[in-house]
Amino acid sequence: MLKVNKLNSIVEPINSGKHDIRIIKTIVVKVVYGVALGLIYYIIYLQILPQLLARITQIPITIPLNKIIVYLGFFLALGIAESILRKYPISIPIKILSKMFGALILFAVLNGGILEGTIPLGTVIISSRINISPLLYTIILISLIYGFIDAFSYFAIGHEK
Amino acid sequence: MFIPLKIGVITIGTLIILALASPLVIFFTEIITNPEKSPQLRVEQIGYTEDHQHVVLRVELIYNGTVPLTDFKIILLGEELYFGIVKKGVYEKEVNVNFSDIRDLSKEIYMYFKIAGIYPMEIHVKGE
Repeated sequence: MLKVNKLNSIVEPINSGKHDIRIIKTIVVKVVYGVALGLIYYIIYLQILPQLLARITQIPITIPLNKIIVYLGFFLALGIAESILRKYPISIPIKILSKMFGALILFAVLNGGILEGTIPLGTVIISSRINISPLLYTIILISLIYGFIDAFSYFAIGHEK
Repeated sequence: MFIPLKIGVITIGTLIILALASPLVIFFTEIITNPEKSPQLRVEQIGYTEDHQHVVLRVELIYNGTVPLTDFKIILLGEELYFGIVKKGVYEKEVNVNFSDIRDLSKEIYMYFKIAGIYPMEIHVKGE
């Protein structure tokens, strides 16, 4: 009796098309979650951290629009992959990869931690150069440590077969 | 297990970043809000060498900021003046320069120091 009920519960939604709708709904939710995750990475690594450091040092940091689009694309792709594959072992390298990618972009955007600026004052030109790499490396290291812990939290969640 | 670990890493990481960034934040906030707190140079001619071949200049470094600056050096007319650790106060050095070089004094001044011994900074002033 129990077996028959179970069979009905599986067969019926498939036949009625509800099962397909549920799968599509799940995928859409995961993609939306992934896009949000990618946007969060983008905001942290490409907006908050560079702008904060630019504001502190008073040296403007500009990122060309074409690079912003490429970086954003990568972040969104990794965010979506991370979200869809969250319950599979492949999520471990993807999560680490997304944090490493963020760190790498931050490193590139901040010119390896060397910021330069020039201020013309009448006939005098004042140029300054500051090396903030100790701070940058610390941010990258902490980000990677967090990435590893986040990646291995896969073992703490239920897994889909 | 992983959630407390994540919160722990974020908390400790944020504290480390704040501690590391604080000298940078304080230094730049001070010099932006009060430019007198940035390292300043005052150069004056105080005499001549005994053989009257060179001019003796007194270079005063005035610093009113709260963040210590280390490895402080200035290159003026090709002469390197090393001040080492600079805290709030006035530091003096004397340098002998050629008569002919005096007019180039404001042409190029180079300053190098490390903010709190962590962040190397260079300032290059070029005039006409």
